Amino acid sequence: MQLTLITVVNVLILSSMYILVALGFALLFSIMGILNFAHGAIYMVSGYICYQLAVEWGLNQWVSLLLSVIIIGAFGVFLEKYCFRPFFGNLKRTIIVCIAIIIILETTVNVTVGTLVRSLPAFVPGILMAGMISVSAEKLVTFIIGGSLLATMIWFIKNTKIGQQIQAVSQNMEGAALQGISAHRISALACALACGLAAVAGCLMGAIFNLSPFMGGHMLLKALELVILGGIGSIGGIFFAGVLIGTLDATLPLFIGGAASEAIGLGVIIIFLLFRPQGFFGREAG
Amino acid sequence: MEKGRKIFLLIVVTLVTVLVALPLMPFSDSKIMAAETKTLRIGVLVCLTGWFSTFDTLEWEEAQLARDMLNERGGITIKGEKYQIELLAEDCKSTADGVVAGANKLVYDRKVKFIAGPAAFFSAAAKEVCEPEKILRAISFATNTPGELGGDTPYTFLCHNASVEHCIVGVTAMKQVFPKVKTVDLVNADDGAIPYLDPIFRKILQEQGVTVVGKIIGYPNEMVDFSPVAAKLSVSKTDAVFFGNGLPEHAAKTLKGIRELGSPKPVIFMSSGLAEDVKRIAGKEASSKFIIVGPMLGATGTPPLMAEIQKRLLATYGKERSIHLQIFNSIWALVKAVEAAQSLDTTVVRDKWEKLNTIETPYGTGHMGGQKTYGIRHALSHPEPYQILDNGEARFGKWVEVRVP
Repeated sequence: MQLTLITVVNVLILSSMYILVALGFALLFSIMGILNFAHGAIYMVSGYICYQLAVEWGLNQWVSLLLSVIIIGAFGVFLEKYCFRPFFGNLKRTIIVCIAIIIILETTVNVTVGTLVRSLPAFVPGILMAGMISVSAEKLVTFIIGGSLLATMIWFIKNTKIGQQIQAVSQNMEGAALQGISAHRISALACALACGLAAVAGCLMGAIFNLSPFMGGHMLLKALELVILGGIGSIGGIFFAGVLIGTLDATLPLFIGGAASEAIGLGVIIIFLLFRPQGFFGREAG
Repeated sequence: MEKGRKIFLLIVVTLVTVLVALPLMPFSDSKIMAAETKTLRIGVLVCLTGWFSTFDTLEWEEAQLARDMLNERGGITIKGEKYQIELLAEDCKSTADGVVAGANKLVYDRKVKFIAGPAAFFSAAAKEVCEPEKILRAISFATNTPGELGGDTPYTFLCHNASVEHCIVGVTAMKQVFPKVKTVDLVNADDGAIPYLDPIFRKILQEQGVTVVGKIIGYPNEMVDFSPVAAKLSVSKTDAVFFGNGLPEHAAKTLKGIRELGSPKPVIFMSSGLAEDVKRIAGKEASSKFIIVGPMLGATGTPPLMAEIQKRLLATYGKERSIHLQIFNSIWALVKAVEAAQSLDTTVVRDKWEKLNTIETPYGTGHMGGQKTYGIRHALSHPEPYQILDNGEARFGKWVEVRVP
């Protein structure tokens, strides 16, 4: 009984973590059609920026998170203008550029900061207990932030002027331009938002787990799984995908030890896609 | 005639000058000629990128320190010729393919005859490249998987305490610090070594009156979230958690997870690291009843060589860092073996090394052994200390003598 309760809590927490990580990636890929493979590396760098500000320079940790979001958001604008815009529509070149960004960011952090073990202190220290269940306060806060950001993003895309402009640009860039929408400005804004969301995830995960120059790869894979399972073009779909993948990752290791649990988890995803290739809420091709 | 005399005089003066100057020229000094320094090139296989780089980049820094310290001590002298140590590193990229590529480059492109590393299960990947070419390899860790160390690796020597030796230290530490522990859960990275280590760990623990309950709980090396592992361990009725091979961050996240779920059971991490690193990840609140194998700065009984290493690492890198010394030991022992053999022929060095009983290491006197454990007497085991993390503070434990059977 206790194990079941613990596992339910783990599923919720892990799902929310994955959703938080995937949100920015989903915004760019699903809505803007930009496959930003550097999302994981950006997520990693933001964790280190927060560490530098909070631990090395002694700033308030929440202020450090905010500054990290602003810095990485600005980096997103730079990324869109110089790395994505010139190759918009050319998937192969975009992927090559993203790989280059990953290598540059990982190597820069590896060489400058090194691979010494680091972790951000808890944003909200303490453990909350309720009967047989106990959960760390920072994981609970991450759960709340992840859920809130997802809901906010869905509302933003559907109900705000800028959100609708983002949708218009993603559906038909030329048509949107004819309506007076600056596609470049909207694209830059979407990129800044996506990178900002990656920064939030990087800072929070850097406190729950540990920082490593190579921590982005695993989370990029999770983000990709969520977006594909959720369906291209659907931000809301990553909620269901996040719950599915969080459930698999939190429960399979209880029964199947080692690397086999990861392999089986991926196998389940592949089988799902065989029956529903467009994911939960994606658009069918053709 | 006048011109002829001038030329004759010029030739005579030149000849005389040369004859007088020759004895004064450096290369004519036989002593200086004999001491002309050459280079002993040692290849190093390390993971500078990828998931294992958090461990191996520290190892590479220590390898360079080993080179510097050996060269400062005059390098190595073989049959009157002095050699300075030169290290040639190749990045294994934390993959078996990377190890093979690195080994190929060292052996066939750079033509080295001596290699240090790689660590753990990575070393099996280098076997097929190195053994046929009779490359003498000093590996820094073994997880007992086939191909790492055994009768089929006659040119491979293990130069640092590995899985079996660390298990001995871990169990000894557990009995000293938590004598009431009778049952444990066993956790180990799922790196392919579990089927081979399982019976060995159980036997070592059983000999100390400790029973392993259930199967080994394995996890992938790249695992980020240890909540499922922590969940299983926290509801288990065992007295303690015995954590086998893995990285300190794996153990730290498991410790953090167990404590978050309210379980106070001790955790013994038998792989080497620094207690402060574990505390950084797990947090002060969760840092209790934890043992980790490895040296600590300024600890009692630290041998002079290790004290010097710690001081220099602190001076260079400006902070206390976990000291592993695995590849350091490998390079150190390899050079000592070469010096003992007084030869650069790898077969001659191997034959001499097999006859050695002891080699001085930073940890103290190391003893050669391993016939029963590995099937070949090519393992160097040495004393090793442990640290205790309790009530949010790290402190030194004790030194443990280790002899691998």
